[in-house]
Amino acid sequence: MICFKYQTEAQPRTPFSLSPCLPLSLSSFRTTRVLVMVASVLLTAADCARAAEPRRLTSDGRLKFTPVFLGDGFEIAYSVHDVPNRLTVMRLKVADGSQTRMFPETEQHLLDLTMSRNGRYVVFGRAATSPQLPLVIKDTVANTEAVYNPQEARAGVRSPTISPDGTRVVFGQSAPGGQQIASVDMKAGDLTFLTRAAGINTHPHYSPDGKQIAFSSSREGDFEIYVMQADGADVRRLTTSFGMDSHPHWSPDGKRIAFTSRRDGNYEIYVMNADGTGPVNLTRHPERDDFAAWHPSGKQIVTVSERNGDYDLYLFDVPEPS
Amino acid sequence: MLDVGSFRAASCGGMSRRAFLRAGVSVPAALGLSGLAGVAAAEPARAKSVLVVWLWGGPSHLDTFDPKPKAPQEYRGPFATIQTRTPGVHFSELLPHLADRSHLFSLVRSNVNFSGDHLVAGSIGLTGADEGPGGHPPNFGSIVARQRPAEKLPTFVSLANGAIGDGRGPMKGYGGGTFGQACDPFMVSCSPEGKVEIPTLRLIEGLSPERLTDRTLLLGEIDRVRRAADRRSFQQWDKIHQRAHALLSSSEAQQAFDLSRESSAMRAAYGHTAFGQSCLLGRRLVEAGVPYVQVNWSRFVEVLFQFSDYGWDTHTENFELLADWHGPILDRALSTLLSDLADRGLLESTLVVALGEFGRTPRINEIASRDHWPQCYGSLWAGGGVVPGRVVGSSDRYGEFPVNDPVTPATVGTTILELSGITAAERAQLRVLEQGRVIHDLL
Repeated sequence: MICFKYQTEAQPRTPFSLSPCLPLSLSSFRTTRVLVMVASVLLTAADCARAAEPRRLTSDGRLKFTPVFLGDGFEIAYSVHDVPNRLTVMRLKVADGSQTRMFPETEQHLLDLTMSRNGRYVVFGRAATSPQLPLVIKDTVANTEAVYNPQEARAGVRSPTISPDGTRVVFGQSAPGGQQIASVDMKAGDLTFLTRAAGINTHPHYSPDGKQIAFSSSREGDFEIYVMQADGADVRRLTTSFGMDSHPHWSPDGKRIAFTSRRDGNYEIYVMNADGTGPVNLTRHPERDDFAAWHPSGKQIVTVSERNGDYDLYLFDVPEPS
Repeated sequence: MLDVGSFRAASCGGMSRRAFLRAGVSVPAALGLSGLAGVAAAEPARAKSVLVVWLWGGPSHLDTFDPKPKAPQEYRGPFATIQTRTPGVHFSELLPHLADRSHLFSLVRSNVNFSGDHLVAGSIGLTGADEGPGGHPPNFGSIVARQRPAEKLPTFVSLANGAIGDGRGPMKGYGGGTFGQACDPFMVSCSPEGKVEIPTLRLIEGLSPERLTDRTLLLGEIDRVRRAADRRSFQQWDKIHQRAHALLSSSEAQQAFDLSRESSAMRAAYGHTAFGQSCLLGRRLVEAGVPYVQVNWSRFVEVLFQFSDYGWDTHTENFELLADWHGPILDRALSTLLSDLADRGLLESTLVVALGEFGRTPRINEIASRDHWPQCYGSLWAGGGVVPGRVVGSSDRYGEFPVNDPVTPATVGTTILELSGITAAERAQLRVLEQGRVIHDLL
């Protein structure tokens, strides 16, 4: 089923390949742990000679948003400003850079895609003929689609994250009194609000054990990173910097959180301990770095980074915490 | 399907007559304006060129150039504010490069408009007045085009992927209005890759200024159009085509529209977005001597509709969209445009005005976003006789209403025309903006 060759320094970057498309099924879940280890070794071996320089994964330069590793980490899904004037979701094979549209038949804007650990559920936002941004939950096993439409005509859903046990989707939703963190079950029912705070509360991301959720909130001023229990209790603030801290993304081992910060006057990716201590600037570049997502190995982070005016995906090695 | 520069209206079998006529309506006839020129200006223009950066859809003034950090949570939004180079003037944290270049421009923080409808407010914003019994008044650029026709180049160029509007249709104030189609802008689109096309003559896929001179290619297309359209429609199209061909076949025009003549570093500095490359093209056109350029942020006001191209109409997700998308792109492109003009010594003779048709509700709405707000918003002014580093007018503590010096669209237009050397006497003769006043505090 899965074939690859080990990538050495002498070889070009493309020889290792997977089967054409990893299935979105439980079968892939069984091999996930092994694959994650292999993927990590391959990526690390390929990149170690390049010191701390990030690896550029795309080269078209188009506007991109919210990349996320799929399942075992061999592929990345991300939103891209496609032609003509449409946000589509692309699926990128990390090893050889080949890409396919995930939903080539759609003519609607698609964004913020994420996938459950076992590959069964694919969740994303879809914009059609109204300002409303519904949440789409695709069950790839049952081949069904559930859609959560916010009650307000113009409300939208952003930044969905799926619980590690695959039972709920948590997201940021426009709501009276401010944008709030809410959740639904995998049938798009049982709406539950997890926050009822002032300001904008968004960008939720589950901890790997499913017990906590990190998110961005402006409840005390500008955007900062907070964590709460999965039921919304025990909210704690992790960052206190001037400027925006947003888009938290929990490391696979649960020990660290990557996030976007403008504390240095520019969009950079920082990594901090899960208790908010020890923030480190990972990207250190005068242009924009945004939308960090961890590789399942916990050793690398993919970003959307602007370089020379182009927006592309970059893969950064993450130093071990000191 | 053909895009004829207005809205998609054709079938796969060819262009409908209605679409064909619509193409004619939206095509620039501000091309060859000989015979249309009015009275010459008595005074030399301080601005040889005008570059309007049209932020279509209505940017939130509180989240860009007029933040209110001390306002209550339900007003101020989630962004921090940063100090600009101008003492006491702060911007949203989304605009650090513009903040660093505030020595190049001044601000108006008391703009007002008279409608909360995009198409109406947009038309008023670009013409200074609402539609009257005689029709819609002309765009400021059309007035300049009529009074200051350029030689060998279009006089009024509007950069967008078709006639600007919203999901309901095009905006009436985009062009010549009561002056007629002859003063409509010459529409040109610019892709993120810097590919320049003429949407109004897009009968051939990928028709670019240089390809317009490919006679063989065009003859075939002309024959096809002749067969598909009635006699009158064909004559109208052919007339437009011949004008465009005559104008764009000049070496001056060819060079002006060719972004490949720019260094890769310069193209990167503007950002590889449609807006960024359009700003760069705008600078090239100004440099070549085009008197009036309107760089449009988008063709449509809507952000994420099926047809839309990410305008500023952020009724939902305002803060996430601005942080992820609009803010960084605007900051990069507009700050580079201002620096580039200054570095080339062009800013002194080029008036740059950046604004939308209105602002957005200072009070955050029921879905954590912002709606239309024509009662108060802002604009950025640079070059062409504008003294930099000033703030004219101010909004109240929540950004809801001007505290003083409300600046109407007529005032905006009058100031633009005055700096372009089109005097009050000329305006009176043309019966445009007769009651308008100039923002003297900018000068």
